[in-house]
Parts: sequence; C-alpha cells; structure tokens
Amino acid sequence: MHFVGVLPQPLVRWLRSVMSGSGTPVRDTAGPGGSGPPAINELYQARRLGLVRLAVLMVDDLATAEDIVQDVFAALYRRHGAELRTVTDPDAYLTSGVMNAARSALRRRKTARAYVPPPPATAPAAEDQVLLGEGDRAVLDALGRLTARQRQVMVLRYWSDLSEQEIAETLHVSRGTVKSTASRALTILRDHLGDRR
Amino acid sequence: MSTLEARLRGALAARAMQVTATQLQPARPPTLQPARPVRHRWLLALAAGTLAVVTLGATITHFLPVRPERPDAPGVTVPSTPPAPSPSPSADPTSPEPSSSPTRASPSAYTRSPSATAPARPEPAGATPATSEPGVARSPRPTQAPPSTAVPAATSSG
Repeated sequence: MHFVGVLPQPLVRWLRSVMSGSGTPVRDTAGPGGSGPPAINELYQARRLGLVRLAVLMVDDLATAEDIVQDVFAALYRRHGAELRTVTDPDAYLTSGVMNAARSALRRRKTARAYVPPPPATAPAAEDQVLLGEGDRAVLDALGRLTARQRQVMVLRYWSDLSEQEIAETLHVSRGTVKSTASRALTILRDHLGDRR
Repeated sequence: MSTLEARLRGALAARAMQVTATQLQPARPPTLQPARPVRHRWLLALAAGTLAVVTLGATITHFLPVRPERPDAPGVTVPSTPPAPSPSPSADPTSPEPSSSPTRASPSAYTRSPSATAPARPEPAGATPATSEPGVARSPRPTQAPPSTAVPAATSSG
C-alpha cells in the first residue's frame, strides 16, 4: 500500500497490530531510527540465560530465578527506558539487580521456613540430583549452609569470575568486606566438606 | 588455585549448565509487556481522594444551616438595674434587705403574724391580742357581741 509510506511509523505499527488482531497494547519496540529492536530487548535476548543461571546458583530454584530476572529487566526498562541511554553499564546493573533480588528471595524464604515447613517444590528435581556428581552435590549442599552474602561472593567469584573490586562494586560493599567474607565462606566450606570426607 | 576452589568452580558450573534455554519460559521482552500506567496510578488515586474530600467539604459547607448571629441590642433598650447592695457586714443594719421582704402574703399570715405588717413600735405589756390585731378588730360579727369592747374596760379598771 502506498499510503503506508507517508504515515508516521508509530501509526503504521498500530495499524498493523489492529489489522493482525492483537488486542494487547504494545509499547514502542523499535529503536531510535525505527530500524531494529531497542537496546533493552537485545540485552534481554543476549543476557537472559546467563542471568537465570546466576540466579539459579543463588536461589536454587528455576521458577524463582526466572521471576527474578524478569523483574530486574522490567525495573531496568521502567527506570532507564528502552534505549538505556541513561545507564552507563547495563550489564553491571543487571548483575547487581539479580544479586539483590536473589538475596531478598533468600531472606523471604528463610522467614517463611521459620513458620511453615518447606514445600516439596523447592527441593531439586530428581534428574538434577542424578546428573550432578556426588562431589558437586556435596559442594552445593555446603554452599546452601552459607549466608546470603557469603553465597553471593562465592558465586560471583567462582562462577562469574569477577575480581574483588568488581564484586565490591556489584554488591555495593567495600573491597575489604568482600575479602573477609570470601575468606570466612571458604573456611566454612572447608569445614563442611572436610566433615563429609 | 586450591583444591577447594577447583571443586567449587566445578560444582557451580555443573549446576549452572543444568539450566538450558529450552527449560525457560517463552521470552517476554520488557517492551512487549502490556502498557500499564504504573507510575501514575498513585497520582490518580491521590487526585481522586483530594477531589472527593474537597467535594465533601464544599457540600457540607453549602448545605449546613447558617447559624443566625444575634444582633447587638441598642443601648437605650437595655433596662438599667440599680446595683444590688453588697451583703457586706459593714452595711447599714437599718436598711431593708431585699431578701427579708415577704414576697407572698396570705390573709392568714396577716392574722397570725403581726410583726409582718405592724410598725416597729413597742406594744404595751397589757395589750391584748384583740387590740393588737387590726384584722380581728375590724371584722364585724353580726351574731355575737363584739368582744373587743370589754378589753379596754378591763384595762381601765385594773
């Protein structure tokens, strides 16, 4: 249709959505020039799986991890828009948001477990237990005994391969705190794993 | 790297690699979520509440019955009352007290208590009640002889 070329781009997208029958209102998903997807959608496609894995290592529950990542992306979009022009390092923002949300989830879970017995859905699936080796399961069980802050430092250090300074910036703590927390966590892990040997 | 750190890396990698893209829910990029005026919801609620309060206040103020103000009476219509005498102990004992005057006098009171209407004059010791009571002396008794006439004779003879 020739008249489509003279209409503004948002109006064209709205006409297409109406003609295709999608009733859900859709926000502006195009980039600044209208040529491609916005930056946050590209970031979402590129970083979603890695952030879900990071959240799984913290909360040990896939559904909760997916919710955490989705909430962090939604918060990023609400605060900085689709093009992310006002955020300097979106990746660090997402990592920090996932860590904070996971810590909050662990705190809520701990409070809930103080009053009600843990539901069976939070236990790892049987196939996951089978796929993991005996040594890995022992290490993960020992990780579960750490505090949320210690677990954050361990995951960021040994899974995300962040330096102490990067961990301190991500968790908004000092570098000395990261160092002492990591040392204490390793001591606890060594004690637990030494008992199991 | 110590053995513990190596084990830690291996365990974390094994657990993370268990999560694959096929296990995740369908992707929902943030820009494709339904538009919701999340930021302005509280603002709308605040505006609605303020409007309701203002409307309620205006309605109450408008339909409330106006209390009429009492006009000040002019000075000429206000009756001036003399100042009451102070009941101080240093007041004049001869001055009549307002509270001592009888407010209600019955005919029987006149016949029985002469002190209420009699002047402050000492009566003679031999005076009879017939002469001291003017009501009794003035009341005529047509069927009987007036006894008041005998009293002066007795006093004069004695």
